Amino acid sequence: MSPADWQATALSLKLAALSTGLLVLIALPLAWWLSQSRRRWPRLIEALSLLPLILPPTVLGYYLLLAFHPQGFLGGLAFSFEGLVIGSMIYSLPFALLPLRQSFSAISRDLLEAAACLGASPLARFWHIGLPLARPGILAAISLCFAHTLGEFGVVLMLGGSIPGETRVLSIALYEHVEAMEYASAHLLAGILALSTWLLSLPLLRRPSV
Amino acid sequence: MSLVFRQCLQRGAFNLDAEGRFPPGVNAIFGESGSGKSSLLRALAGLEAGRGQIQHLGRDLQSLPSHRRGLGLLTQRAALLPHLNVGENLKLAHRLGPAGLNPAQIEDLIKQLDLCALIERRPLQLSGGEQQRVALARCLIGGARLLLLDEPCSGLDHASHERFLKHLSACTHKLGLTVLLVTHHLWEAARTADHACLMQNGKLGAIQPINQLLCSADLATRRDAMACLQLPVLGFDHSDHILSLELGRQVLQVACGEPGEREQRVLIPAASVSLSPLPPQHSSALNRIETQFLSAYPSAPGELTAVLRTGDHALLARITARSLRQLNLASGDRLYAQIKATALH
Repeated sequence: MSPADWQATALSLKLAALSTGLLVLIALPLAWWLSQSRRRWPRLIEALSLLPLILPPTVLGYYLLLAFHPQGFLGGLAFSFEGLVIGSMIYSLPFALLPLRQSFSAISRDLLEAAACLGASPLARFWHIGLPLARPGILAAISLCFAHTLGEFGVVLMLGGSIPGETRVLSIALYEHVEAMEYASAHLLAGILALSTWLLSLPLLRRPSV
Repeated sequence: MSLVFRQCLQRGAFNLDAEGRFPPGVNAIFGESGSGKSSLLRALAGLEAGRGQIQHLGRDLQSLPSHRRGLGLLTQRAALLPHLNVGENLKLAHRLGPAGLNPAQIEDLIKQLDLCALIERRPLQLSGGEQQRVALARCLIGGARLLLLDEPCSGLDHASHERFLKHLSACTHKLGLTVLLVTHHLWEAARTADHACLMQNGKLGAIQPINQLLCSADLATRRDAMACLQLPVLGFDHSDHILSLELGRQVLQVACGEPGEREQRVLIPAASVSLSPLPPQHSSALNRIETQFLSAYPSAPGELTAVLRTGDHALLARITARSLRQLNLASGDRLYAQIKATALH
């Protein structure tokens, strides 16, 4: 593998780890709130947060590019690693939110009500019941987000281009190898991507322990 | 009074408007399904948005969220945390509760509820009865002084049910709790409750001593009608396993496997009491209690429940309309109630 490919691999891993970590931290309280709220308007927020699931990545990337443009809403983040992290988080939000939301919703209301009567505040219920019982969902969210970020292409291309060490991630490097008809290198990167995403899917096969 | 409340709640066509004043001890609430018993308990616990006021031991609960009300709610689902073992469940409840018991009290509670052997087990490894006992301990360990029990024993077999009630009575008296026990089993209330009231169409009836309500027209006409008496123990015959209780100036004999304490509660099913105007001779029934006939309520086609008085106590006897006619009973008549010692429990 060339030094440039090593650099792309390291950048991809860094991007996936950072955006997954930050995203799960944000999605945990959001998913808990959505699962506990009995009002209607949080449904609207939930529907909005699922938009990246149906929007074409290039469309999402385009709007993010407009927002991150120097004169945009979040100016100056286009074509930067930080911009990629934020873009990946938005792009992968449904992949974190859905499994977490589902795990939290599956927790029996009896458990939460009994705990409330025992003196558990909403925060204590999240900490002592929500988090431990949603462990399979948290694992699923982490592996889905990580795999999804590793393989993303459209958003990265629109938002980051291909700046070595800054925005040239594995999928972009793979695309460029194919463009240049360097099939051996392309095979290698495609193999790395395929193997690592498959490995990341293994936690999803775990049987629930409780 | 320990608990005074008025709670109003509207749910579709159902309207809860219940006012109650409950003393410390076990208070039973009887009612048909849909009469609003569970909604009332949920409103008291803050899980439904009931309007009104709630005072417990002079503390206003109405304005507080569930987790600050300092009460225990136990339904037929024990709702133990499945990822923690029994000991960890109890530890967490102790930490979260308003005023956790001290170590000596905890040890006492665990012994009292027979949980020593279960501490390391996960909730899914426990039987239904064991789960409910752990759930009861979990309510008490955090220092709750008000317990709301919503048919906690439905789904348990009879032995586990009896055992749970025995533990509940012991804990209630030891810790000075106020308990509201929602039930539709007469014997459950007769076994544990000191006072009881009826709930109908979202309204709560007047609270009465348990035997007074059991012998009222509302409950005496039920097929499982019974009286319950709390009587001083006179002695225990170890060879015959017969417990003697003081019933006014008479003695009530109960077939019983073990000697009781200073006082014993005894349940007298109306169906196991027969009546005779003359002192019965040569009968296998050990008890011939002199009583006064007060009145009779029709309870089924051709059947009546007779209300009797002996001293300060009321008893019930289920007889046929034909027997009543043949005995030609009038209010105030003296009668002998024959009660089998083996029918009492």
